[in-house]
Amino acid sequence: MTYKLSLSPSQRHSRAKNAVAEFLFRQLTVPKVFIDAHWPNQSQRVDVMAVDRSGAGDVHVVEVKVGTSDLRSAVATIIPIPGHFKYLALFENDNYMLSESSLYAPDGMGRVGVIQVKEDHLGDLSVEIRVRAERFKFEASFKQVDNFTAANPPYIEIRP
Amino acid sequence: MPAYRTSIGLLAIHSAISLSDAIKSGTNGKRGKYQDHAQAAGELERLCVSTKVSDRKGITHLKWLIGQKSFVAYSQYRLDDTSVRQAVDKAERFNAWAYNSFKEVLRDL
Repeated sequence: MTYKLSLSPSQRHSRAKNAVAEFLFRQLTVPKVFIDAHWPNQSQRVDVMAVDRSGAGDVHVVEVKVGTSDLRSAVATIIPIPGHFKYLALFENDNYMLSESSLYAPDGMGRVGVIQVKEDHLGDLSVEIRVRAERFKFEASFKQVDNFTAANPPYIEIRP
Repeated sequence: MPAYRTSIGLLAIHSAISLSDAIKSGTNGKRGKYQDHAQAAGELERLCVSTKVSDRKGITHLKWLIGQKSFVAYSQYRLDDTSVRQAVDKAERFNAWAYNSFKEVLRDL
């Protein structure tokens, strides 16, 4: 499986984003899933974003991290992004600590979920939830969500 | 898994009928009164006219699902994989249409 060694960091990051996007697509109800979403504005970017119920439901945002990195800063990056559910997705990272208290919102309303992306010996990726996300207060409006879904073509969706 | 195919197909059909009922209830406060589910599609179509929803693709999916209901529920034959996938696909497409076309109504429920 030498091809894995030749993948660049950005390729590995994209593989993980792809796996997480597929995972959210299967978990939610006819969601619209976006990659590298400029949400909530052009100056910010989310690795993976899914809006449940074809844009009418909850907003899920995911920060994807490949390799050993500073998880506290990764969580600090995702917490201010508006979303009902927020996740940190880890790929090629075995040092994650389950008791990470920084996963919680400062006011206690919300916990960042942790998604683990794994690669088996055949090179296939699988995704599982390590920490269930808890609902955050939504710091945006549905009008913003509607504007976003109207302006950005989804990466994955069920077409009516 | 073949033993569950009929249940999956029926769930797909009834989920679409239930969502159709939710749209009607959320829009005009009334539940569908029909005994015959075939009327559900007609009622939803009339609702589309009155609420000026021009995209009617979802109605086609709902009609297809309702059209399969008797066979799925009462046939002596088990569904094959293709039929189940088709029912789930139609139900998902109906869902996507419904949430796109009646976003505000379904968000408030």
